[in-house]
Amino acid sequence: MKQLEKKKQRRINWIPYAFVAPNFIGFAIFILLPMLFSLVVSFTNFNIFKGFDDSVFVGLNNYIAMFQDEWFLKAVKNNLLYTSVTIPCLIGFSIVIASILNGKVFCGDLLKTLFFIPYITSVVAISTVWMMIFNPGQGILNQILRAIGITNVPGWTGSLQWALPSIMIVGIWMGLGYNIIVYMSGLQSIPKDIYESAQIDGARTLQTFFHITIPMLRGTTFFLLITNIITSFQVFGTINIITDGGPGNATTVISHYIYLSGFRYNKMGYASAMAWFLLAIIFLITMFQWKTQRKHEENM
Amino acid sequence: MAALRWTGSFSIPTMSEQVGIMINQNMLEDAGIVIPENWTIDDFAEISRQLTQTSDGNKVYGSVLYHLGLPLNIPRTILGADYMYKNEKESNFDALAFRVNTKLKAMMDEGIAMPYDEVFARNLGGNSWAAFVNEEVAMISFAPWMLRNVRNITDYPHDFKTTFAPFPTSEKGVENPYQMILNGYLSMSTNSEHKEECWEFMKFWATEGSRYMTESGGKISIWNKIEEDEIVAAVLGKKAEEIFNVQAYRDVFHDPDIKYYVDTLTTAYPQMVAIYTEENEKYFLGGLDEETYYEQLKNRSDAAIANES
Repeated sequence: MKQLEKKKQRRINWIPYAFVAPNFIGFAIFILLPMLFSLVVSFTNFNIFKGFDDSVFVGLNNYIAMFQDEWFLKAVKNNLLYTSVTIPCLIGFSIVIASILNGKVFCGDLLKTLFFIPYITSVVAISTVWMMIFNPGQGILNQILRAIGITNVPGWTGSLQWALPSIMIVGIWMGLGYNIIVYMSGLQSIPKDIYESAQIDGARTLQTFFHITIPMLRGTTFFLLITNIITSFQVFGTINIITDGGPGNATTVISHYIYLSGFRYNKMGYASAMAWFLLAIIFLITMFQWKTQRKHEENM
Repeated sequence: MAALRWTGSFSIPTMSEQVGIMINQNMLEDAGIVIPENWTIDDFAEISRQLTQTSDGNKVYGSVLYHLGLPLNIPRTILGADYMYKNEKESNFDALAFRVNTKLKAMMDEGIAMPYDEVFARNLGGNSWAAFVNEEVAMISFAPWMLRNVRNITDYPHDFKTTFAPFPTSEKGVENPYQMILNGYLSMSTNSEHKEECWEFMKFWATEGSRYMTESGGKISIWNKIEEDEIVAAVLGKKAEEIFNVQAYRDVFHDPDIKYYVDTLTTAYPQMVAIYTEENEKYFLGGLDEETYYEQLKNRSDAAIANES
């Protein structure tokens, strides 16, 4: 009897691993191992044509060189600008729109679908169409602006000052859908009696919004902040297609510069170092947020 | 044939690519213009000015000044090989030839060439043949491969005739023969298990096979056994006389004085191209004044070369 039980125990042990294995093997081969490979490469001067045989260990040189590279510093600055504008807009607009859509709205379901479609559409398709919209000469956006009387229309993607804002607009437009859907599910988990008691106390709509809705959505906001910040630091598709980092270096961002360094300037080691630096930034920001949220929860 | 050596490998070229200026002949004739021999950028600008017009509310620009991501590369045609390098250690952007960019900016500012913000936003910086067949521009810089699109009047219908001219030079008396490169480089791997067969195929591609590349792609064969007539017919297609000014094509593209160049210096080459592109964009969009532009071009390029060495 005891031997049978022992055998059963040993047999049951590997089944959960078997379930997890396919996903983990795929993760290991396509993500984990390449990541570790790139960490090693970041300490060398590896490039595709040299291969490992001709690469030389250079220690921290790549990491030091980053901070003396004007292109990299400009890329970091552009990333910070991009993130600091798109995140508040995304969070702000989606809370408001989600609150509105949560109530009784004409064609509510249709509107929700329309907001969500950009999130599931191909980045290439979106970028191509926005490129045409933003065209300073013949694009529809400037035509509308001229029609309402604005003579000095922005140059959008063709202007040194307006190129990054154009990319921000596309980024916000793309991300709204996802944020709205997540906020809507967050809203639905707020107990209705809180609103009722607020109404009884005589609170107006705006007051309920600022003093009940927003605080109760803290958890959702925290989650969305993290995911949005991570995504915004990785912005690449729209920039690669619409402006390719230009004009000048108005839209050069870290991920795009990593791509250029690795594949155009043939400096994979340097590109890997920058990729790990990007990982470090995002990691630090996420950790900082986590700590702040913890503290806030403790205070509550 | 000049063999090309690059990071330890060898290759042989099989075709040539020449640049030139492609012009809407109908627009030229309507304005009564004749392209002068050995024209300069000033002649080019004047003609571009006369060809810029608005018809039926549609703006037609005299020219688009961008090709392959850079402005009209007159400096290249004057300086030839390694035009961005003065020597192995220094960049060449303080050379007089590059000053032609000031005139190009003036053209775009005046509106007689498509302004850069529109070129950039419409992604016409690589090539602008689409705007050309659409009659939005009278003169563009081009290479023969674009003619496979221009001669395709089924997909890109147009009823104007296309004529040709060589690249203008910077000023009277300055020669600019370097308007051609060799291309279609073929290499064989040292690890190949079929070296004989590979070599046979490479020979075929460089000789008999090059006919097909010329006809389908406008990549001009450099095999000396193909007659000039055959090449012209292959590039211009069956309706050549209807669509093109064949004699003009011959004069420009079978000019024996045109020389080809082979770059040998490659230190920080992609970075220099990126710097040249960025500074051009800032300058043409009004973000830099003229002297800062030329200074930064030189300093940043010198720094990039020093960094790589």
